[in-house]
Amino acid sequence: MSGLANLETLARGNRPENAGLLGTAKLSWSRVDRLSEEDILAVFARHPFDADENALKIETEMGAAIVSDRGALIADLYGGRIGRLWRIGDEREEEREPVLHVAFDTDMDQGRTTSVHFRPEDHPELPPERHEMILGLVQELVDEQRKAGALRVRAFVVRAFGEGRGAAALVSLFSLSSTGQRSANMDYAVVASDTHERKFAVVAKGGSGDWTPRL
Amino acid sequence: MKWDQDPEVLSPVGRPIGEQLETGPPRQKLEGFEPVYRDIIDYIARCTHRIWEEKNIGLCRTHYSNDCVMHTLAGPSVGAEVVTQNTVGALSSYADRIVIAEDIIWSEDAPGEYYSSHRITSRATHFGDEPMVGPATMRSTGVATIADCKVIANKIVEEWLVRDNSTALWQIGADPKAIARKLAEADREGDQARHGWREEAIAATRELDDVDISRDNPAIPLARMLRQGFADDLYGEAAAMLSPSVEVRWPSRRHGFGRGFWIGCLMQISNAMHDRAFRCEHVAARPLPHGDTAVAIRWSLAGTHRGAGVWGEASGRELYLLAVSHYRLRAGIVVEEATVFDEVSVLRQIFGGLGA
Repeated sequence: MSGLANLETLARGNRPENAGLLGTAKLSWSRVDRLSEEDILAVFARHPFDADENALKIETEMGAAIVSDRGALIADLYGGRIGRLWRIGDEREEEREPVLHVAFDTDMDQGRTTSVHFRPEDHPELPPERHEMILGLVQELVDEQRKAGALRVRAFVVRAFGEGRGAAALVSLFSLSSTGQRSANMDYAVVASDTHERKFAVVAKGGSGDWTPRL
Repeated sequence: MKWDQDPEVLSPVGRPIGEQLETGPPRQKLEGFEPVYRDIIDYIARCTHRIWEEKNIGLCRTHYSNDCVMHTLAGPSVGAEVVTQNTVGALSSYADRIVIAEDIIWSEDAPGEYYSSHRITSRATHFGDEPMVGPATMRSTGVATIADCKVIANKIVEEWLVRDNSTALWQIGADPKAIARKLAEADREGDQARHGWREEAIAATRELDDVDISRDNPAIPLARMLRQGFADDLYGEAAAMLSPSVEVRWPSRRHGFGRGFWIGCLMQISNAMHDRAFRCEHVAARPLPHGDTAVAIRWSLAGTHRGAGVWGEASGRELYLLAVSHYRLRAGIVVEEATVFDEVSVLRQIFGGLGA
């Protein structure tokens, strides 16, 4: 089975054949990581991913994506098998796990020229002619959050790939609230576009918790 | 030996467990090993499976030497019998534990002397009571561990084990600080000579040179990166080895992206530990699928707890930290980083345990 077929099978809550979902797989969804094939299958059995028929579907050697207006699945592939998976959209209220937060500088340069961190060599399967389009969509996400009043909105492009049908990128979005009492928010988002110039952008909805930079 | 020797010995990354555990002819010449082991990756993955999942725990006696030292940040233990009993103990509380090999990065440091750095996520249910933690909670756990093993002729002769114990405690609803205090109180009872290992380890970190690394090894710039950060405080220069979008995972669920986040992880510790000494103790590197490269670095830090911050008020105690970092490089730059150490044992030292 192809990586996309494995992803579609899993999305419906079924087990991909021939170890199409690796035993070592990890799923990130609703701010929680699920480890192992069995745990991930249980998540999709309880909450199938609803990919509408107009969803954009992309597969390369290293990645697969199903992206619609409602949600997105992005997978790392190894010979068509799913090794790591991100699900964006339809987030659930999960028990918030304790986290040790880290004070950090998103930029290391007040003269920075971009809010989108992207290194082309990290994404060998994103054709150069698609860079501008993908980075433009990521910038739109950043601008949207800024317009909504968020501060220091930065995007880190974590995965990006494309083929004849289109291209997609997984992004980690960081922002601070612009209130006196700030809160930090870091969540995944997916952007994609196809050859018919349809554009998709899905942002995970989680909200920030308490800031705890101590053990 | 060259870091990428024996290319037919494949990383477990991207391979189903069924394929990994297929029996067959050897892929690597292993002197003195049981014939079932096809290569050093297979040895580590298969003996872990036989011991932890098939519950043939007695195999520890044929897979650990009688004088094997297992180093942890809570202190060393010696011998195959101790390993056997500790494994029985762990599996009596977490009986359904599956040991997921995220990667095994290895080297042959001398003919027939192998070193493996095995990054594991252990998934289990907290089924049984534990003396220090309390009654079974039936909560699910999934904890990052890295086991570095020196292996000769079918036996692990020395092991360095690091585990994200603070996350493990959180997962079963326990408070890492409270457990560390209880452990420290117990440490202060009885003969303190049993904690002598810690002073020796601190002296080694302060006095010994970094391990020699062969000129072509991809670990060289990463060992330099850690030294530039922890020893020279040149965090920005160090982080140039990382992708601007690097994914960083550190213990206690520190998780973020970007060079600044990695710097933040280092600076939390540098701020707490003054008068620092850093030592790179071992490196290994292996090819990964998609043309990527995996690097493992075992490192240690010694320093005085003079800075308030991540570990609370400064205690003034000298601290020792043993860690292992795994890196995935793409086109020469780190795109993913996972560092593991036992932060509960750091708190335990701060509270006056382990002879601190």
